[in-house]
Amino acid sequence: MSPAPAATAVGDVRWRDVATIEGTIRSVRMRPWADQVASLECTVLDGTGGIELVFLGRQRLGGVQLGRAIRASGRVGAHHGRLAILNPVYELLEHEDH
Amino acid sequence: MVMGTCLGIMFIGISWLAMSMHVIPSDKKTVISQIAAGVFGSGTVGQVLFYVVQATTMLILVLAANTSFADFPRLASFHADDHFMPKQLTKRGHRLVFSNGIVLLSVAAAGLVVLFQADVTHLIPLYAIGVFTSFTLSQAGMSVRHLRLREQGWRVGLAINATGAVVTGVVTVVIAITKFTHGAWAIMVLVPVLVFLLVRLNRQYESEKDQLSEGAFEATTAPVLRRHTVLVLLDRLDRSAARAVQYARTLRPDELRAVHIASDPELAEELMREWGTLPLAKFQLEIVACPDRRIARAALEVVAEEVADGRTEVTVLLPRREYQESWHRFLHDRTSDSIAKALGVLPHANVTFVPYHLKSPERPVKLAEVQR
Repeated sequence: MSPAPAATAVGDVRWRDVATIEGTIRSVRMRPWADQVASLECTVLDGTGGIELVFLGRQRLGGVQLGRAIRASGRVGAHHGRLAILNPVYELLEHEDH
Repeated sequence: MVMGTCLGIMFIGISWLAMSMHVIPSDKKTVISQIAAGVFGSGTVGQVLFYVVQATTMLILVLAANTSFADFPRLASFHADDHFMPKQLTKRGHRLVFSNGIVLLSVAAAGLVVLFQADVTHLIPLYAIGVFTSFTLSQAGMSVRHLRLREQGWRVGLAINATGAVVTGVVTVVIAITKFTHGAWAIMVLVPVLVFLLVRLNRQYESEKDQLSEGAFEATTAPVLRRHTVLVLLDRLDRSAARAVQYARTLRPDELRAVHIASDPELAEELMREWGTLPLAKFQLEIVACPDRRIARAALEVVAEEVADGRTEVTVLLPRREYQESWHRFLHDRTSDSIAKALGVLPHANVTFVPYHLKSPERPVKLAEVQR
């Protein structure tokens, strides 16, 4: 397994970067488009800032839950006025104890 | 004028009688009853007249007590209108009396009676100094008014009121000194404290009024914010939440979102699953982590983020259960109130309660009760 690239602090992520971030999921949002079609958005915080992860066309994703630590990478764009990574490659990290 | 003359003649007459008959007030018999007994003699007619005087005295005293209940609330309401007493005293009950003033006076009077064990000899000095203090203050107040306004005939008025102020002032001082240990000290302490508190209250009311009225006209016509976001705060998917969701859908805002503050992750999962099956197009559900269970604080963060761009007006809908019996309310906490209070600090954050009326199982709601 190839070593994972070092994560960037969310506060340093810029628009149009290709970035890898790591953080905790603070909120999960389900944004419906039409009946039974929705996108799942979650806000990830890492202590330097927050960024959105958007999974288009998904209502739910196993493991994408509040309080889960997650690592995600992709190109940073904008979604409804906020920095977001659309359809990121993601990896759930070991459960952080709260 | 007629009343004043009658009062004067009767008062001087009784004083003269008391002096010439060497009547001494005692704990058992009042001066009036001793004079009446002496004047009318011990014959049958005398006996009857004696009881007539006693009964009349009692009626007058009852009326006197009634007078304070009739006039204190009215006076207090004038003061409250001028922002010198709590605003609640201006409120009329549904019998058109100032209920709050009456209740206040009753509680104070009952308190005094209990405190002094209904002992008249101890209550009288309190009464005397109270009366003469207010006489002195009102006479002095009228004198100042004459001096300031100088209306027609102010010299005569000033002479009368100034004499009154000096005479009653002397009496007040005499009572204050001779009855100091008999409870007069309480008045001496209480009056300055009360005056200080009421003046402080007045300052508070005035500053509130200034804040509210300043620039009200301009504020009404100021440009409005262009975006409107409605957030429905819900706990779980129940009837009261459904009511709020239905109401929210009629508002047609730019953004509509249900927000759940998750203090219990399993409950949040459950809600997410249920929400996914609802045929509610474009109605988002957001679940916010709240591991420390400070729900009001978490709600504040969500709304603060929403108004942060400075061009969004946010309405937060809080489903609220309304209970038929007042004691039912104590079965539940009042989280929604604390949330509303926390959100109140944000500009452009508005809270609307969406009521859901719970029926008692054994007592259905009647329309008449709701209207009452």
